[in-house]
Amino acid sequence: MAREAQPHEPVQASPVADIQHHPKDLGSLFARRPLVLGEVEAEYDEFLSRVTRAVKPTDTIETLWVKDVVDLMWEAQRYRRVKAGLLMQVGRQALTEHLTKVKGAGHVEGVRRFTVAELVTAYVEGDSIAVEEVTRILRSRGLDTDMLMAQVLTERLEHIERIDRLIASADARRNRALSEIDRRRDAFARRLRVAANDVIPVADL
Amino acid sequence: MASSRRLAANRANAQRSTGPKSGQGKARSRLNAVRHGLAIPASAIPALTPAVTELARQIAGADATDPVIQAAAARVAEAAIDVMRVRHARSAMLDRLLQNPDFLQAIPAAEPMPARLPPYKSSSIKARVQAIVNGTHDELARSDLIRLKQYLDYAAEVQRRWHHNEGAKRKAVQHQADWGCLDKLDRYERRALSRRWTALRALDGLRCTLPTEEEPCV
Repeated sequence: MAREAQPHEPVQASPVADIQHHPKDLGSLFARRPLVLGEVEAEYDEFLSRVTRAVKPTDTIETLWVKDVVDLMWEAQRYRRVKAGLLMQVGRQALTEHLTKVKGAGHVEGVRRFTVAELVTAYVEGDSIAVEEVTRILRSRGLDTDMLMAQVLTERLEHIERIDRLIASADARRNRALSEIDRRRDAFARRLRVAANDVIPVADL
Repeated sequence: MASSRRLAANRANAQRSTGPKSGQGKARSRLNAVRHGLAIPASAIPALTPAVTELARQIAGADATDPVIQAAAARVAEAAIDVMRVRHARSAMLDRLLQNPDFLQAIPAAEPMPARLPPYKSSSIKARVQAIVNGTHDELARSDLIRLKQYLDYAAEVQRRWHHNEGAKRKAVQHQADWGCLDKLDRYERRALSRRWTALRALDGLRCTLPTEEEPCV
C-alpha cells in the first residue's frame, strides 16, 4: 500500500503514473473542467493533480471525493475572487464619485497631474503621489478609505451576503467530503488493525 | 358572444393546429417544458446510461459479479453523475452571469415622482384682450410660454423617472431571478450529494455483509 504523506512533510511531486486512480479516468463528465470565463484549464489540472497526488485515492469512491474536494475548493476560490473584484469595483466607484466633487483633485502643488480617473487608477496601483493626494482629499472631507467603503457597502450588502453564503456552502461540502475520506480510511485502518491482530498470534506459533 | 360562424371557424382552425408533424418538430416540442433537466435522474437519460454503467462497474470493482452490489453501485454512480451534472450547470450559469456587466451592479433606487403642478390653464380671451389694451400682451405671452415650458419639463421628468423606475424594477426582478437560479442549483447539488452519500453508505453496508476472509466491518 502506498505510504501516505505525513502532515509535516512537504508533498513530493510524483509522476502521474504513480497514481492508480485519477478523477479524469472516471468518465467524460468528470474529465470536464468546471471553469468559468477567465479561469485557466492548466491551473485547474495542476491543482487537481497536486491534490490527487497528495491524497492518493485508493479506489473509485475516494477518487470521487478527491474530485469533490478539488471542485469545491476551486469554486470557493472563485467566489472569493468575485467578492474581491466586487469590493474593488465598489471602492473605485465610490472614490471616483467623491473625487469628482472635489475641485482641484489631481492637482499636485498647483499643477494638474492626474485626471480623476487617472488619480483613482494610480491610487489603486499604489502610486505614492496619488496615495498621498487621495488621503489628503479624503482627510479634508473628514473621511478615510474605510469610511468610504462602509458608505457604499450598504448598497452591495445583499450581493456580498449572497456570495458569502455560496462560499460557506462550498466550504461545508468540502469539509464533509474530507471527513468522509477520513471516516472511510479510518474504517479501513480499523479493519486492517483487526486483521493484523489476528494474523500476529498465528505467525508467533 | 361569438357567432355560430365564428365558432365553426375556430373549431376548423383548431383541427388544423395539431402540433408538430415532423420527427424533428416532435423531438423539439418534447423538450418544451424542460428547463435544465436536472430534476431527472441520470438513469432516466438514455445518453447517460453508458456513463452510469461504466462508473458503476468501476465502483463495484471486484464485487461487480454480485447483483446486489452491482445495483447499489449503480445507485452511487447515478447520484455521482447527477452531482457532476448540477455542478457543470452551475458553472455554466455563473459563467453566463459573470459575463453580464449588470450582474454585480447595484440596483438603482426608485425615484419618487416630482410634485404635481396645478392644472395648466392658458390665459383667457378676456385677459389677453385686457393685456392688449394695457400694452402688456408680450409679458402675458411670455408668462404663458414659461408656464407651458414648466409643464413640458414636468411631463418629460415624469416620463424619465417612470422609465428609470421601470428599468430599476426590471433589474430587480432579473437580479432576483439570477441569484434565485444560483440558489436553486445550489439546492440541487446539495440534494444530489445527499443521495450519493446515502447510496455510498448503503453500498459500504452491503460490502460489509459479504463473506470475506477479513473481519467484519467496524
